[in-house]
Amino acid sequence: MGRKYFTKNLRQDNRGFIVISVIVMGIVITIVIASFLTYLQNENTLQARQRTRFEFENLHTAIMMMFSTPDICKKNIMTARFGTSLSELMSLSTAGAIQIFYPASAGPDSGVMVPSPNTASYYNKNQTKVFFTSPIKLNATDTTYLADLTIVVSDPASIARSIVIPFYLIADTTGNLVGCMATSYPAPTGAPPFSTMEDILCSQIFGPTSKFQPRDHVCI
Amino acid sequence: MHLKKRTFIKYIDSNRGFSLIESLSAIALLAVIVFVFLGWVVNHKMGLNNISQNSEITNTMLRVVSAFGDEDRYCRDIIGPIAFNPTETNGVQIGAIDYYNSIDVKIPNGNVVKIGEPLAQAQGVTTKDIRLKPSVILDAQTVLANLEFTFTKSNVLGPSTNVQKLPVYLTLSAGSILTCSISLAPSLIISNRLCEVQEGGFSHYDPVTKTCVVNDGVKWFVSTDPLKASCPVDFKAATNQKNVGRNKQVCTSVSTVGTKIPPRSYKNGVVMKDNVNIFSAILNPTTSTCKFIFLRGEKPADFKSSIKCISTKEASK
Repeated sequence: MGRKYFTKNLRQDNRGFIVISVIVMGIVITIVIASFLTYLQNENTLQARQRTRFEFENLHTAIMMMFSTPDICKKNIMTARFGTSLSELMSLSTAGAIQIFYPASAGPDSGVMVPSPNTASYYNKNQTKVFFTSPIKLNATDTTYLADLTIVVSDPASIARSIVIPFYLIADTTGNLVGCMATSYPAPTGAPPFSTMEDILCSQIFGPTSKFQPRDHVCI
Repeated sequence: MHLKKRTFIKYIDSNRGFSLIESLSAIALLAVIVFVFLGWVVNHKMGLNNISQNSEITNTMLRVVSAFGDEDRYCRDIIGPIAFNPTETNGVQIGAIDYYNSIDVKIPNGNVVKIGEPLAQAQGVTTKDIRLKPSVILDAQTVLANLEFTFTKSNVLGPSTNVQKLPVYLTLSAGSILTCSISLAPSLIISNRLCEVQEGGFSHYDPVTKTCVVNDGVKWFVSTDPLKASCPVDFKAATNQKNVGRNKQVCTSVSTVGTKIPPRSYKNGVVMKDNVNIFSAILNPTTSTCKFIFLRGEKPADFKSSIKCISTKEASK
């Protein structure tokens, strides 16, 4: 029926051709528009990802700058954002409730810098995870530890991006946190024991076996 | 269904024209489609423009980072001359970010970004403000700040703003910026750690004198007895349980007659380059007392012995 109609139509007038042309044009325009929309969406996503990366690197830098000062780090502990003890720190980590605060009494900025997951934060990004890894005891005779603060952000393309900042955690003999300090791994060795920036300074000054003792800020 | 199809074919096959109402309906429908399509084109032209503008802002920020380079002195060149008050919440405005060369001279026409000027590679983006805003006062001389860039983007719907921040680590002296850095581990933090570990945790880096200085509350007390030095009341030996072995960081004795072992070399090839004071010291951290032992032949009376102490108030902080 269709073929008969089509040949008949070709013989008599152009209406069938026009109908088909309109349908084909419609499909072509739809494809072009869809392609263009996809392109725009991808470009927007790429831009947003680049911005997320830039802002995330800045967040990393700001945390390092701020928490390399032990007093500021201690204030974060005193307000219980890391918990008051090692066990509480780990339970907060498991629950995803670790928070990083600007010290309210020490400058214009105050309040949440990096909150628990899925809320607005430093640059209005969503954290998917904020946690400390299990602390590694640094010395058998002392209750000082090294743990990695890890912040994971899901970027606009839903690709996870994370920063890792090693923290010295200092506890008393009962496990209560009494101090902390951010550090870095300038020369990652790939497996524990890691050498922090302070360890490398100690080994350069006092010999290769010397390690940093964060409780007293000395080399041992 | 079959009936409807036949009716449609019959209608198409006929040579009858369109009625006025059909024609007007078609024109109205076409007008709506054209209107929607034009709106879509305008919106997505704006979308493309917005992407281009955002891209240029990101690139500009990367150029700003490159202008600061990997040496803190470029940061000092760029924002060092600015009078900065860390208690001024709104910060201080900076006119432009410029490139500097390796001898700290501003490169002519080397603006990376300047207030009031449009960004070169994208239409409709202007730098509205560049501001150094304090964020956290780390201590009396050290401040964490943000270099905040506000860009204005214009399009047919009107202007919008885009704010970018760059963290900056600053040290201040007498109201001016002494050092600054945008790097992950500013050299000042490393210098500070060096002073701490070299002096048993009782020293810090002073960016003004560029030397290690002892912390507040830490003092050297010179004893009248060359064989013994003790901390006074309300002070204790500036040591801790971890560095008692490094007694010469706490106990020291200086010859008043210049008696030292001079630089020398031994038959086995060992070379001692430095002058060495001829004493050994034993610290008792419980009583905060240093005892000094001098080599045979040396006269203790020729020495002045000292102990480094910290006030108990400062130590308890």
